[in-house]
Amino acid sequence: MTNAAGRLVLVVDDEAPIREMERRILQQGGYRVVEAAGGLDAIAMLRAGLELDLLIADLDMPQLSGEDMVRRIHAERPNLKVLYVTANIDRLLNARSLVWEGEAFLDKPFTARGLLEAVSQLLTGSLPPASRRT
Amino acid sequence: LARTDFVAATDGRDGDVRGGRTHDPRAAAAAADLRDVEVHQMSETEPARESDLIHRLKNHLCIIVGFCDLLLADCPAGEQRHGDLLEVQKAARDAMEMMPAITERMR
Repeated sequence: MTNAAGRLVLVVDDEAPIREMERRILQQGGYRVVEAAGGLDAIAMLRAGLELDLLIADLDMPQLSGEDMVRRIHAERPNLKVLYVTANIDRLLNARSLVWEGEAFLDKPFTARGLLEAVSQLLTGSLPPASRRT
Repeated sequence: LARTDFVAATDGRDGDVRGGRTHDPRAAAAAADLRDVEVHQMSETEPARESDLIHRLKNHLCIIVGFCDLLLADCPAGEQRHGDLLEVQKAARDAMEMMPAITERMR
């Protein structure tokens, strides 16, 4: 049994191939995964009662940015953990002086192992078993 | 692993700092809902900026690396296809290593 067992992750990204890739990587890692193509869809899913362990948010989305989406979601679910994925991590970290507890950033491009490590670190504070062996 | 670029969470989420952003999270969310959705999409008539090109390149590379990793996980070692995928993976990861230098030069 891995530390991923039973955990539900919502992947929000406007680019379908990246969403699918993240879903399949996470499923290989033992997570349950649901997807949303944008921030408004994700907010609607959560307002409909979806119970999540982790939100993975693309920062640069066309309708609603990842940060704006998370700001709205955190207003109702302040303890929901968030992993931001971004191709503009330098710009982001220049604009922000703090990384809140319960959130982390993963720079694109990332490997499958990088994604699983980031998710595991955020959810459990430890690396997944496969990473610990190597 | 060549690089992960995982920025670990800190313990900065205390009430004071968070309060500086939104004193009443629910009210802030309600107000945000009333605003028009922010549109970040670049006009198709505008020339692509360097940052947009880098962004798109990173997204393409992310897809190559990620799906290559997925395929390798399903491909038995020793097969010709496995070796082929390892070559793709190596090239993709080498390209990942080049991204900081490319980004710096395009600034």
